Amino acid sequence: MADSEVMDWRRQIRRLEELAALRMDDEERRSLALDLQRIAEYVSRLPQIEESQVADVVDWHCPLADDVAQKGLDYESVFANAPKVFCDMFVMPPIIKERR
Amino acid sequence: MTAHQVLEAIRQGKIGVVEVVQQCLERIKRWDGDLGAFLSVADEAALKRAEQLEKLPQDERGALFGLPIAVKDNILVKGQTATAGSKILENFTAPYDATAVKRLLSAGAVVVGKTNLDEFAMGSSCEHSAFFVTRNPWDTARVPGGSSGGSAAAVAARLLPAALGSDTGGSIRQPASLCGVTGHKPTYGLVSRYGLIAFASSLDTIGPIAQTAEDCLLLLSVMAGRDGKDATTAPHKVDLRRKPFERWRIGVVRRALEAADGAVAEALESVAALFAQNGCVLKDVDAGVLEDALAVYYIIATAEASANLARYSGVHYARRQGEGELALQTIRETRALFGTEVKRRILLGTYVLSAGYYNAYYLRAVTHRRALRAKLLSILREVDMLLLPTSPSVAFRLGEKLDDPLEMYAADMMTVGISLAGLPAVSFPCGFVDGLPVGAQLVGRPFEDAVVLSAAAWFQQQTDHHKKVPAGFEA
Repeated sequence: MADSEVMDWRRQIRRLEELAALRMDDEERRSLALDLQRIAEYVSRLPQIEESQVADVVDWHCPLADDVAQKGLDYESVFANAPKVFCDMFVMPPIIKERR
Repeated sequence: MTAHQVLEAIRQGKIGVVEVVQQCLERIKRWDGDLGAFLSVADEAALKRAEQLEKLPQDERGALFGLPIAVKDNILVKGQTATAGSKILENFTAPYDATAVKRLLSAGAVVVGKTNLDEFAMGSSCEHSAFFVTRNPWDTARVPGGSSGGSAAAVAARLLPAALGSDTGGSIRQPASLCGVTGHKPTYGLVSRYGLIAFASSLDTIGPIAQTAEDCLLLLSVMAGRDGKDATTAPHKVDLRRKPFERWRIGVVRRALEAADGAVAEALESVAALFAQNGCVLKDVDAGVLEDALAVYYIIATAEASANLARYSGVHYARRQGEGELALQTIRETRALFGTEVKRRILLGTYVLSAGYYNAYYLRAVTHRRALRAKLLSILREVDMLLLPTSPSVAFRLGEKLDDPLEMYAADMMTVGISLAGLPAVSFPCGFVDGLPVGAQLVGRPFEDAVVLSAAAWFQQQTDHHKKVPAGFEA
């Protein structure tokens, strides 16, 4: 694999890392860049096929369910699993450090 | 004993439910140290439930009264941990039962524990569990397959008669094949996915692993059916009674046999020959579309996984890690708990869905998936079922494919196409190569799960591959 290609994939990995909110160390990044390039090359070999070439699929015995509006859950059931409730709201633990 | 034999023994009063559960717990205690099939064992809860069941009057006893089962650890059982094999869900306790589990419990089953799996069901060897690897009872230096490797290994070692697995691209069938047991992937929409920790929602299914196809059919008939909590379950009633032997027309997927190892192909030929000798009509079919299936699968499954796993941020879901100055910092620290294989698939899924690549990868794969389903359904108008290997090889050595993800993905080459088409399939033992089991796969029309399971059950009446027990686990 050419060095420039590897560099491209390392840049690509950093972009994907941002998009997917992941965090990796350099070693993991390097190894995943190589793997992803190989996998992407492999899957890109899929030939292009036109939508019009695909026959309509008529399924066996698979009718769609009727659209029936149903009542939602009542408050009591919803909050039954909540660790903490305040004024009909879930109480979530803070995820940001308090500034002192 | 098979599930049917256990149930019959309980019905006849030859053995009590508590005794059956105790025997399973003893076997788990004795053997699981070598196998690593279980992530957790609910011994107290299982014994308590067994005692309660024994007090039930005869007329309230369900079809699975007293049957001990194990459940893959990505399927929720109320009050038990559900880690999905991941550090990110370590110590998570399920607040409710999955619909499939609820129905089994209503029929009288007893859950004795949760089984190991590749993290979030992403893997074909059970080596990607964040906790420990599971070993194959036929050779503990080899993998049990994955991702339902814990369930398959537990049934193969006769730790209990049946277990639940989940199958997204082959995760029930491939480990069933490698461990010499029977595993069924139901038609997509037959069994509710409610309470299954999602990997790829358009492909995920819950299904049984047992010693025999008859046992799988029994468990399936209890779990199947419409569920208001999963909109993708089919609304109509499906006939899941065992079918008598017929002179079925069987399509042999010749190119799949050619792609498999020679000894595996030979075992498959013997399956075809047995059906033919009894009047079934064999026909070679051209299912060439299956050859592109691996690429299509790894685009669609990873794309869906990247969306499904976005929820594990430490805000609503997952064990929160650290408390950063910024929310994103906390989210990243939490998501750093994912293992390498999960990160690889999330990155690939994010890549194929990202601007500039969506058309080239994802949309192309979706079109291929439609073409593949159309082609397989057209073949299934001419034949009643397809026959092909479940896995191209027997169980491989631990670590053998760990450094090469593409080689590991190729272990699923015989199963992913069937998953993309949403068809029912059963894997059952059909021979041995160097002491390791080989699995054959029968694939049917949508919702004709009972037909493929009945064909496999007929095969098991004529042969004894499924009766063989790995050395050392007989007693």
